[in-house]
Amino acid sequence: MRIDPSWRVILASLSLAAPAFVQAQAGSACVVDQADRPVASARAIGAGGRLLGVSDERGRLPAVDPGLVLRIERLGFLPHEVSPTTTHDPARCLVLRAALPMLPGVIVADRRTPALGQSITRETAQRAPALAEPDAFRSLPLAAAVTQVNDLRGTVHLAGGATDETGITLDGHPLQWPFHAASALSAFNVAALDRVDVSIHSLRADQGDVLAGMIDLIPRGATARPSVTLDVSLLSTTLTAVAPAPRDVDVLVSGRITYLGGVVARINRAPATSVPTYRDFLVRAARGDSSGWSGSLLGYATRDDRRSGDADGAGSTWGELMTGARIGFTTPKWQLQARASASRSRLDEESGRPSLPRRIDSGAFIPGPGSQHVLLVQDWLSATATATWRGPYGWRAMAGQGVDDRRHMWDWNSSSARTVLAPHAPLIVASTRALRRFATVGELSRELAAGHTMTAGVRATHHLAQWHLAPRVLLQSPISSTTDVAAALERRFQYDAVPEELVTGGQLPPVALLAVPRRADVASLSIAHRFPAARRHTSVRAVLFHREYRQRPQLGDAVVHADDDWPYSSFGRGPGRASGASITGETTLAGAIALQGTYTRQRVVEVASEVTRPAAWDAPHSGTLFGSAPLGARWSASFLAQLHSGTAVTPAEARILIPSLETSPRYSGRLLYGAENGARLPTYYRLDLGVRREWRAADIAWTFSMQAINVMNRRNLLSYDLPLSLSCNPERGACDAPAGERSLPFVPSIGLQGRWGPR
Amino acid sequence: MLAIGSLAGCDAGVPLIPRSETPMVYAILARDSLLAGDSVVTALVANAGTATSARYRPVESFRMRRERDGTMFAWRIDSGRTGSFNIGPLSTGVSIPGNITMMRSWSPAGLGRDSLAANDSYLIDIRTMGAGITARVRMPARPRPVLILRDGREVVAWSTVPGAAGYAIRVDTDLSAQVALRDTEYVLRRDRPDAELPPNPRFILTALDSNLVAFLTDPEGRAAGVGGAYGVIGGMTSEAIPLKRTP
Repeated sequence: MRIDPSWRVILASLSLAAPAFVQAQAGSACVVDQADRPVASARAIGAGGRLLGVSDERGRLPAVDPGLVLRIERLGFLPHEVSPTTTHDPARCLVLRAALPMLPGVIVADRRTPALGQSITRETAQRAPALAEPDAFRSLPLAAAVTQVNDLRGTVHLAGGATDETGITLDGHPLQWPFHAASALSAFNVAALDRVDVSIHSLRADQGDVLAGMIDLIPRGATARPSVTLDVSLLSTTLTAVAPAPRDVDVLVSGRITYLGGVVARINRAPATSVPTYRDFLVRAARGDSSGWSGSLLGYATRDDRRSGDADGAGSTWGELMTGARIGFTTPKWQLQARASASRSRLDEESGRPSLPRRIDSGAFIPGPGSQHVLLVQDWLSATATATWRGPYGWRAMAGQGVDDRRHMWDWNSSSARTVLAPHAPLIVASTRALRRFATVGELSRELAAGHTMTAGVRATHHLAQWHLAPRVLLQSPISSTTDVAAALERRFQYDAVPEELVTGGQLPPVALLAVPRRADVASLSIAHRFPAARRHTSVRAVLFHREYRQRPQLGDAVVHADDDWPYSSFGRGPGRASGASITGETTLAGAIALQGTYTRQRVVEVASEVTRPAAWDAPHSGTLFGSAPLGARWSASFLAQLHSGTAVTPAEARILIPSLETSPRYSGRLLYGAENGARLPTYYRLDLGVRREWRAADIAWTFSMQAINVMNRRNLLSYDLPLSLSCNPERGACDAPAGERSLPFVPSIGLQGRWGPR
Repeated sequence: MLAIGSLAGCDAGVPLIPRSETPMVYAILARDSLLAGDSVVTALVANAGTATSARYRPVESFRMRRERDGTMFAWRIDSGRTGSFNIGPLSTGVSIPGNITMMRSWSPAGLGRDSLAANDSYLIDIRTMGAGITARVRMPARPRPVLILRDGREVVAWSTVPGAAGYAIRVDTDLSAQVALRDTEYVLRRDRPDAELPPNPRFILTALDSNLVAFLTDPEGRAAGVGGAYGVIGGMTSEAIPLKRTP
């Protein structure tokens, strides 16, 4: 049986639909776990591997005739096979048994995840040793073809793409920058999420315009009984509550606040004025009724503050505010759904320093108005509507329309733009740009009896009076009961870009809206095999991928140092290429010890001035190995080892001398640079360890955890400033400035979680 | 998983400045001694070396002849200078003794520094460790700076001279030590404290040949006027005029 990706998301998003409607169907199905708790997002599979429906948060399967169900499956549970001869009892639900041994790792990738995709669930994300607290984005490098070249930032590279080529959605609504603490941590606590889906090699036609892939954050669904989770760590405290409310409304509320500044102040015995403090908040209310209607409202906000402590009173705040709404209507044959969202990301930094001088038309410089400031306001209105029809013989058709309206305002006149935005940002900018684009999407697929599925789609985007067509084809075939093969071929466009990677410690990337989109043609082939065994779960997945980029932005000569209408829109363009292979394996040993590892071999190059060079984030080798094992007495331990090639840097071919203008000269030095990005820093290596203990007391499920990041305290070099390293003059005491940026140090932490109610 | 375990050896650290055996050569020809470092004309022939040190190269021959008549100049090879030397921080000037010295005056071995003349060109041929290095230098004509008063300010002006691609100045009365520029005038700032003024302050104008200007103004320059090596062999001609201690 092959998954139908569009169905999965559409049905999942409408999972609150129609409880009364279900009850009205004679013999309708419901799904619970062994503790009689409803199981949401369970997939009902019929004859020929046909997807019949997906359970809602109350475990009910709308519009599914239980007599047709042959199998129920869901991440984290053993598949439940239903014998055709079984007599269905409407009063009893189908029971799924938890299958933790089936999910030994952090990353989940099987038939129940998106096509050619991978997932991290709420449960699995908590297995990896965490940077103070569980963070799904920090776990993403465990996924195949995902690299985190700079571990000081939470951003990732998907299959060789730049970090600005990754789209992030929350409940289907696009987010701009869900990161905290100078982008080191994600702005989501794991307890508020059901799972994180990572789609790299295949995107549905109705997914957004991004080149590298999509990270979809799926909020946690409601439970039959209220559930409250309290997480306390050295870094922050998080409270998450999920509860059914009156009138069939399910509510999720989650909030987090940090006291990082206070912790650092105690450690350093000094005011932690430059340490950012942050908070985030998520609320979602969803409801469905018996006629098939469903809807949800979502609100999300983050805010970071940082005070410099300087005499001039400099400080900055940044964050994002997003609201979204979704409505859907479900019948046995039709799925109609629409969503709309509005988000604003904002960075506001003020200082008491006088403004930088501004250049006027004559070329002269005049004092600028006011004090130095950096202000970014980036608005994004987004809406989509789709209709999906399921017909006989496995046919499915989807059509939809979307609109994205973006307006970005940049206004800064401060040298600190290069520390909070980008290393080569212009010093003075005052500019506003707005772009709107419309997308028409269509997809047609057919599932054959043996589970083979072919999907063809197109995404046609109208942008600045031009159409851009992005066709795509996806083939999925279970060539045996244990082996799946999938292949995808796609064209993708992206209509924005960040000219350069956000500077370490940066707060919000300035996103340039492109008049001419960048393009990537993507091809991938995947094969997955499971080794059947009675008490042991072993599987292997391999993916080959290749991408050809057109019009990829390059920083080049784009940097200007004074007023310009929209400085980053003039950056250079050039082709690029990313190709590679990844392999992932997982197994259990002795029935309890779980191992999951991944290795990716890839090359990412770009062409500039007819010279092919490795991209700055190119990591030819990357690998992770995760393991966990029970220690007894409710203790368990886990480790995570990460390795990847060192960062590409430009070496010097030689250091030569520059004479002073004397016949017996004194000499200073000059570096003659070799091929750009032609050398590499030493290999990155990190080992994280964690232990945890779970127990129940006073009807509360407690989890105590201790973890340590980089236990070997290996100071991996992330970048290196060669001229700076050679400028050290001990005689002048000028050797304090570090010549290179180093990775996360040894970071120990402890945490305590208390959970009231069901998981 | 074995592949992961072996990764540590895949990307052994690549030195960002590999040791270089490529020769580099430096010499600045000037007839007059107007600056502290102009008492002797020396040439440096060395390997580019590493990030922090270079190594003198043995020199088999260092031949320089005047282009118009082929007359040879006398250079003395200091074969005692061998081994490595520290090249210091990147942006700080360090004193590095040359390993070849030009004779001061004529001798049976050839012409000396006294015979360097404006507008003359010189061909240099060096043999070092079997490698050949060639260079051509044209000495600029002598510049003629003139001190004038313009709108109440002291201005030193001069005309362009043949063979000069740029000019360097040193002004005893100003805080800026040495400035290379393509202008043909300079406004005195008189910002050096009286206590720091020399007894006889001067304005020294140096005409630079195209080799020196090309090498000093190109931040990526590898060689100028030199074939077969990094570095530069250039020529310069200086002229000084006296300045009053007070305007």
